[in-house]
Amino acid sequence: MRIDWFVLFAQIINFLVLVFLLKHFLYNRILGAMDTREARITAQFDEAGRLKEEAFESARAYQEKNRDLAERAEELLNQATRAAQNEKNQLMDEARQEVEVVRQRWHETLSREKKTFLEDLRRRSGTYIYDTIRHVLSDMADEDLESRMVRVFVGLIREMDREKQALLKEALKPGKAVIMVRSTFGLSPEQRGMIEEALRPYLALKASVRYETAEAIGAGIEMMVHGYKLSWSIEDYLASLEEKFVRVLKEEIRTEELV
Amino acid sequence: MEILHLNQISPDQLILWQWGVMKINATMVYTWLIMAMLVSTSWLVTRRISTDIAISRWQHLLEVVVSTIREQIKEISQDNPDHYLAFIGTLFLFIGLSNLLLIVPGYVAPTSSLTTTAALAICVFIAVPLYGITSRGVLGYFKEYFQPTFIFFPFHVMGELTRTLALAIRLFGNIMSHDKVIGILLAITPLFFPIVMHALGLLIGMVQAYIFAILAMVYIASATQTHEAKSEGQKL
Repeated sequence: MRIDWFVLFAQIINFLVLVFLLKHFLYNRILGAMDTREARITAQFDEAGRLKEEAFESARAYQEKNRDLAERAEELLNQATRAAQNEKNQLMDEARQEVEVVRQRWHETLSREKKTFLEDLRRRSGTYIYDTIRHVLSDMADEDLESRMVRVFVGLIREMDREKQALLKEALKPGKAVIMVRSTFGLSPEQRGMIEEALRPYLALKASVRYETAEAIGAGIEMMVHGYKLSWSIEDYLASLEEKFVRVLKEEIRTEELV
Repeated sequence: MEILHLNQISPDQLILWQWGVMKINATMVYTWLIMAMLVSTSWLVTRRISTDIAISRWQHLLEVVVSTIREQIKEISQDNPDHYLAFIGTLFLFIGLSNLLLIVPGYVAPTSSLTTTAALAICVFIAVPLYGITSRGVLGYFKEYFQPTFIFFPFHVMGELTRTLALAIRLFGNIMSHDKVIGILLAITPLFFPIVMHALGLLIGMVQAYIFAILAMVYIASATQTHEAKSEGQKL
């Protein structure tokens, strides 16, 4: 097999020309396009990465802002709750104070009414009892109430124990003492005589008796001398009656309150 | 039955024009045909080349081909492949297309001519020292011929010559023998068997193109990297 040297040389030239042409029309252009595309894609990736980073930053900022807003809202809510609670407590205190004032006023009114009622009751009871006893005594013993009072008072004087007698004598000692006998009704001479008769052991001490009519002592008779006092009055019984009545009234009020 | 003579298969024997020593034979015409196909295709595809993500199928095909060649070169050279792309890539594309067109009836591959394969081997033979000198300098390159001692100089030279000869003969032998085998088989079993052999011939042609280009790259890489490898060895 023979090698044609001209063809060999021509083929070498052909190949070198082909290398040159392909380098120009193929490799350079293709590589240039690929490099340009790669650079563009890289730039796009970088841009995408930057945008992603910015998106993450924005998302983080929004999350922080949301958290701050939530904390702020909770703080405001707590403040509002505290303020409402304080307002409620203040209103409750004011209401309690008002209730207390009203209650106090009501108690005062009630107490005043009770006192008025009791005074009225006492006055009327005294009058009724006085009238009743007088009628009873008049009907049953043919004796009026004043006479009976004088007799009871005289009985009290006579039945004084030694200690009281000593006290009365001690009060009459200064000499020329005046025994003041006060009664709600006028004493008749006979009744005065009965009293003086009872006081005779003490009148020997140069004491005089003076009589006086006074409504203030209620239905009864009293004797006063230098700090010593001896008395009998329906008022004592009325006071006892009032005390019992008040006790019964309180129990009734308590029962009603419980109900 | 008449069997073609080996000389009759070679396209060198078909002379179309001659004037003195100058002549134009079928080898040169087929070579120009392949050159025209490669250049015209490249020009047509790359004249409206796109740098966007969306590209044409032909551009995609060329990008795949060029990228694959670059990767292969990079694997072997461990260097910037763009220095060798034009030379090695053109070797592969020329030989590959030349062998691929064997499927066309009436076509005779230029690579079945020893003249063409010798021309390509001579190009490699010249390119190896050129790349070596460019990379390492004249002294650096030729010093390798006297390693480890000056006695080895003739063996180095013989090695260069024989491997160049082997390049040319290997490609020529494979493609020529394939043409020969096809011719014989057409005479013996003219129906289906030649088709199978043609398919096998396409595979062989592409493998030979790959081997030629890869061996050329290996020779160039060995010429450009020996010094660097030695320097690294001395450092170690």
